[in-house]
Amino acid sequence: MSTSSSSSKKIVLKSADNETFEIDEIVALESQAIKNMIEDECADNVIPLGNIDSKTLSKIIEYCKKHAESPKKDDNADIDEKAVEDLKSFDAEFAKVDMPLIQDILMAANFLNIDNLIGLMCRTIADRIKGKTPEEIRKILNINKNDLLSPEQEAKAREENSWAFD
Amino acid sequence: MNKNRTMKRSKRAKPSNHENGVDFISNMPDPILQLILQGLPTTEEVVRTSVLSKRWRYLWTSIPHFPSIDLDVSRGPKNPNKLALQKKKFKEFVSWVLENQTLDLDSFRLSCDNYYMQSTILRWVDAAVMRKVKRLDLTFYTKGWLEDVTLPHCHSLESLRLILYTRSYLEFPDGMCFPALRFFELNCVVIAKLDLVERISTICPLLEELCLIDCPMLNRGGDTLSISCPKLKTLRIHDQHENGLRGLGISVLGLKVSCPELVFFECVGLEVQNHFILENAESLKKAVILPYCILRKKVSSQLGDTICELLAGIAHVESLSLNHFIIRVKT
Repeated sequence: MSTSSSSSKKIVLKSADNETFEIDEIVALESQAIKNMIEDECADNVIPLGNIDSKTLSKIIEYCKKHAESPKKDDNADIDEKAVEDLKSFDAEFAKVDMPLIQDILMAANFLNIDNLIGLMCRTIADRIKGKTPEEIRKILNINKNDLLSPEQEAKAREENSWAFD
Repeated sequence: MNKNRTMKRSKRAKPSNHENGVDFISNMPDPILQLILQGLPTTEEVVRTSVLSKRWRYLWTSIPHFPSIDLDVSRGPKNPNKLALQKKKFKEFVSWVLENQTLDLDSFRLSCDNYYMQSTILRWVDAAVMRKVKRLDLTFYTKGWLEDVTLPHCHSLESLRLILYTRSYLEFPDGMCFPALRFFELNCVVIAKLDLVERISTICPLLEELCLIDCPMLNRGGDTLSISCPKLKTLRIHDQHENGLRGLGISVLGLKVSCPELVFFECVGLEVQNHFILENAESLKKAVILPYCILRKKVSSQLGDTICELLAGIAHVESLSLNHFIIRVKT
């Protein structure tokens, strides 16, 4: 779908719902998993991503594009502060999505091995559960009722670290 | 092609679907959940995740290390009968999280009122210093009145905040050095000798921000507090007299500030004395000078001259806040 520069090499990603995304190779390389595939020459023309839907994939591509365009920290010790600030505010905006999408992005980022994006999503989740009661956190994270501690187990957990609960 | 096939195959292992009420988080690998835990602001919150579910029960204990330790037990247990147990558990926890590790520590914040002996707290501080802590933030009571608190040398320390509820005074042994310290706040710390503040410039040569908040000084009226730090950019002195120690604070002292790089100067609640001198204030951009009521005092002509000189010396600032006491003296 991207047509930013016709000369650079293109990679096509195909989502679970069979939508294809054509992106510059440089953007795809933000994903360590895809990078490994390309380096090992085991990437076909089209890379199927059977567990990532198109909504999630387009968000991830948006993220990778922005980060591929931005100067890397290790490129140059004194990259200008404006670029850093710009990327920060992009990340902050990017993370303003609902929890289900955050979860999908996190799972996909983990699968595609995009370190920065994993970190961003984890920080976002931490921000949303900070200062909340266990009950509220369970709801936010959608923790399965079958997985809860028994009342006895919970009492023991509280006693073990009573200073953090009382 | 192998990896490609793996990706295709994983299509069957569909992600848990939140819309069907399936718990996504429990399916994530440990390192991901640990990253989430490390994003929580306080260590307490991290520990409290142990009751979320079976998956989370021991997860926090597997965090490779806590780069920041943030502990606040000042509220005490709801059930006072549990105090002894809570203290024991807390000590065990701190020694586990702080003393059994060797990696560098970013920050250590401890707020524990009167629950621990000073010797215990200083042992923890020592452990933090051993781990090259950068930021220390300590709030505690000492058992007795006016015990002295001596901090260890720390070459890594960049920020130090000490809140001692006006019970204790700080002591700097000879040769004390915080070579990397940039931010230093003393809050309700008794200062036994004025030269402690004067020595700060030698002890912390790179200091950029100094805050003396409601610090009683055991000195005679008429003395002058002298602050001259070559790199200091921000100086805040507050004396709000809320602690009933009026007459002991900085308020009755003269003040002489000579910091050539000072950008922000804030001085609230002091009685303006005849010696109130701001030297070398060329880089000053913002000044807030809100002295305590001096209406009852007879305004000497010397005081009028002092204020005129003070204002003349900082006439170039971009922002200046004064209150009517200053104006009254001046007129």
